[in-house]
Amino acid sequence: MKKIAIALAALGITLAAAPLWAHHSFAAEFDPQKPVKLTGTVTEMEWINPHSWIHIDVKGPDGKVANWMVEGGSPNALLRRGFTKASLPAGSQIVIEGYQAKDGSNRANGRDITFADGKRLFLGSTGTGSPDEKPEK
Amino acid sequence: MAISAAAQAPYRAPRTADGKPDLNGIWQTTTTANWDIQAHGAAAGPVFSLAADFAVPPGPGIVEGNEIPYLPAMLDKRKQNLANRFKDDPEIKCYLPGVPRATYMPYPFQIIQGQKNILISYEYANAVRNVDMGKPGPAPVDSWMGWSIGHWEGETLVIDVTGLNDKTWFDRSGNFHSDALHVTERYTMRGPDVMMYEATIEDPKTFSRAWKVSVPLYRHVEKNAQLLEFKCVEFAEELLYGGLRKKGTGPNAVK
Amino acid sequence: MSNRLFEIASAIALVSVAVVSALAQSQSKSAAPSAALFAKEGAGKAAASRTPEGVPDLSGFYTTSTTVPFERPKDLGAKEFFTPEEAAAYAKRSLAAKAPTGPGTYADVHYDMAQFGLEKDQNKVSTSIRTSIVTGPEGRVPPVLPAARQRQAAKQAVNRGHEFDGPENRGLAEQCIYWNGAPPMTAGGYNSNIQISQGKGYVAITSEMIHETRIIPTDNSAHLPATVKMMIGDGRGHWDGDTLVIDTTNFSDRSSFRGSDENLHVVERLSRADAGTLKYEFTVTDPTVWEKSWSGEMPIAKIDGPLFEYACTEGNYGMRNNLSGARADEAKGIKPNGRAALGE
Repeated sequence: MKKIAIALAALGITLAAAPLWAHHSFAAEFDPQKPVKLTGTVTEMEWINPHSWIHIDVKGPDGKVANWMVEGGSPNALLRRGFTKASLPAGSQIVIEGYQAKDGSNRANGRDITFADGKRLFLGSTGTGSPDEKPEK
Repeated sequence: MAISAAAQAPYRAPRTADGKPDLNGIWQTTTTANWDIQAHGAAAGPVFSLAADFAVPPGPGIVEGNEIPYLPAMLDKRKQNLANRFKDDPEIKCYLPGVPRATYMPYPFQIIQGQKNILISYEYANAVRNVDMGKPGPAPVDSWMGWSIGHWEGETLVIDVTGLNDKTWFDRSGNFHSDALHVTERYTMRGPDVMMYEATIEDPKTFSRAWKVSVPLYRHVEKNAQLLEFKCVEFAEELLYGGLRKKGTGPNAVK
Repeated sequence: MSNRLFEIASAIALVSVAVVSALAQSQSKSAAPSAALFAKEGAGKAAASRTPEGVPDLSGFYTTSTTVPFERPKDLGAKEFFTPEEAAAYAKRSLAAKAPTGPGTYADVHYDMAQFGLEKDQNKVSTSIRTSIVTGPEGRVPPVLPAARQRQAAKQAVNRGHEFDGPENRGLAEQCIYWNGAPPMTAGGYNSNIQISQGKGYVAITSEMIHETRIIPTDNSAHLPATVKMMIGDGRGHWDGDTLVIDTTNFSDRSSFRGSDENLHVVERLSRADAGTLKYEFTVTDPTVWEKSWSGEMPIAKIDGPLFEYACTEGNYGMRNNLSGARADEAKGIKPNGRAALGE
């Protein structure tokens, strides 16, 4: 088992540098210095590739409504599970945490997306969603 | 001018091993319908320096009755698309062409005929359609190439296409549709190397009634017939993203 | 030898991870990977089903996602096979290992993959008792020839400092030009799904990303002239008993497989292992890159499918946003460089 543990540690290191992210350099798109938390009403969800996009109307502190675009994942795995374009109807209230686009436009990455009651939007994480979680040693 | 299948005795195509008309092969139309699905004369092309090379060739069209019955409210958009066609045609950006346009673009496609599925693979932009020969239920989302369900009616493969988005055009002259588009295709062998293709267009948001296109498909009979790779996405990159590049770089850079 | 061991693995039953919540319209429960996720695949060989034309029926939907690492972890040395228990434990733990997601990490400025069902352990995955996909005593890709290394370094050097100048400086996948449709077949990060279609005289393999189809005639015909080069190469097949053999040449140097260039030559062997699995072997040769040919083997697991359309360039806001973000950085005097910005 020790050999496997060592192998997995190597695997863990490999995973962190895995080319999974290499196709799309997200840090060039969003600004880690600009965290946002958006509470708003869905106007439309684009079930498209390479990334889905959720459009929401967000009421600012000044009462003005701004439309934001939030980047999500490819919807294909959701579609295989039976979700459809009707699964997130316009009018749904959701909360998004992420970072704002570097160019200052109303775009954010959908790092955490929940309904107003805290329930996750589509699928629950498989146990490793905690921000404090570290890879296995 | 459409050739009616009823005008001659139906041709009985050779069968596949499971007793279905054999539509396997590499097919292509010879029509100029991709420029304009209606009858049209020749016209100058959009690039002055390419002159006759890229002029618009004439064609008798593939629309039965040559009339596309737009709803009166849709005629403005028709005019606008036509006026802006050399900018707004999604084909310019190498976007997937949708159905039925993929069939009559000037590139070959291949039919790979299985039992549970028939794959139609198009040379243009690797467009591909999986025709489900069973009952997969409705399309869960809209897509560029649609959701295809097929069944046999005697000599004819009938494909019911739904779930088409509203972003494709029927041709380069701006004929368009909404996301209510429903296409019913009929593929019928007419002889050993010719297939008749008919597509009925229904879209109550755009047209006042159903209408039809029909065009022959010719088999590529040459021994080395093969779909080759036509990846046009990168040909459109400068058009799509050139305005966002770093100054002084790229094909149009002034150094 | 490898054939017999593969049969042993099949007989013992390949451990695979079932898809979570097949048709849920509501949200799935958050759950750590539990024993319930692991289902035994049907053991033993199914009667080889055939198409109406009489050739083996390989058609259907499959995933190329596997828990077997491409190369053998270095400390396993010459150990080419696990015991079934070691393999199951390794598979379980490799699926559980995730990239860090805390503040300041790359995953932090990314959408949540798990929410969209894109994590490896949320989808079907094959496994075997092999310690690597690359077969042989080392289980690693042979060393790259020095001249090839120099060529690759020169290519990378050209792009260094220019990664965000324009679309051509980004990777092929980000440009929506090409993802992983060329042979040999490997997983693509997510949506690692293929559809095999069979019609008279042809086998077609469609990769979900980016709707790429290899159409392979099974008449062992001659390859295209060498001047015609394609990212997915030119594949020619024939049946060797119940095994489909595919010989692919005419690669361009664009879709480079682990540093390969246009002299790449791939031979694949695909056959049915049992009702839920295909056996997939490949041999890679590129004499100007590797000193010798090398081979790989992995199981390919059946999935329910279907493939969904992955129209890419049509919705590629990401390219626009990346370039726009890079220009915004430059305007502030920051050199755009995705990962360095996070201190990684």
